[in-house]
Amino acid sequence: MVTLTRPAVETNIIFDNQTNSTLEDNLTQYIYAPDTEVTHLQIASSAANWYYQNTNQTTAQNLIIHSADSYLQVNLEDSTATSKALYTDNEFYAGTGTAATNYYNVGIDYGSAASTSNAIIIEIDSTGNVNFKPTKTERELKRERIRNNLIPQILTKRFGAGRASKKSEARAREALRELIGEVQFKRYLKNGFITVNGDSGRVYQIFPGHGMTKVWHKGTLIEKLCVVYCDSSLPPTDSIIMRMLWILDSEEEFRKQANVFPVYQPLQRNAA
Amino acid sequence: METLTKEPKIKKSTLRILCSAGDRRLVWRKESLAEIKEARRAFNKALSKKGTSAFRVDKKGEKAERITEFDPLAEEIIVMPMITGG
Repeated sequence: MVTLTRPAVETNIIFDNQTNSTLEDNLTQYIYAPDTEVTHLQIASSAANWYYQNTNQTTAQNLIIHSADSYLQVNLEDSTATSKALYTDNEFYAGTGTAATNYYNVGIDYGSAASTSNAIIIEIDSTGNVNFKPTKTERELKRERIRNNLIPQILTKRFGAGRASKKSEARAREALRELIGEVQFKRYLKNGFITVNGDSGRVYQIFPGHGMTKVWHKGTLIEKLCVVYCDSSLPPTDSIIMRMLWILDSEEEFRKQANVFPVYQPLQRNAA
Repeated sequence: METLTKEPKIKKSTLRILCSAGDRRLVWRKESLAEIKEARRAFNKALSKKGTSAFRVDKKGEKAERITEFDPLAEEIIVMPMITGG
């Protein structure tokens, strides 16, 4: 959505020229600058395409776009369509801005998990400067948050995965959903765990965060395995992805990494 | 009767680096050398950290294979930080 008025709210996107060659190096140099004006982004004559032209620089430059919105995806491609480097979501990096005559078409689209609340408005003033703002006002966003909180929870015997309180957890769940599919993912939200069948016939019941992985064999719980990330700042659902991949690759390797807690079964008494 | 022709869907591969922000993603097309180069660089950088492991995953999430080198033909690669017994 493009309008031709100047925004009255803060932008959540930074456009910047950087000379460093790696994404991480560039990211460390970010300075969050609300209401950043982008003087080097120009409107094409057709108004359908947006051109980034490296008019100010003669040396090699990269255009970095950073969005605070996790589901926003900005596509940037060389007008010759010969090369394009695309980082999705909140990081984007075009690695081929080499000459002053290079043009890039800039477009906005949204990831699969996007909703209209994640959209932004791009505004261009009369001098060609570009600014960004959310599509919804703060009041509308607040009302939406309250409405979401009123969604009734499904009562089950088990505790579900709960609400994703952090953005990082929401992203991790999105990743898990793409990995295991919609049906399994809904089951995870409801039950709070996923199950993975190992090649040995064992079934692994994987819980998020620091929860131990239960190993079942022929319907009997035989042991519990504890494997965690060294970095505890990762969201709980990322732990599920980690355990699932290790198990799918090699059950033995996963077991080697884990602290194993055997489960003692009650003695079987002979009736005779 | 007018027939509708669909444009062939361009297959994209994803490099997903798990981190405290959930994950960071990088998409590349197998036809683009520049994108592959970028993805390889990001992969090598991520994997250079101690204890990091990478898995090649199919899109259905049914198979995972641990890898140590970047595979440009992979459908999805997930890089995760160091783990330990808890």
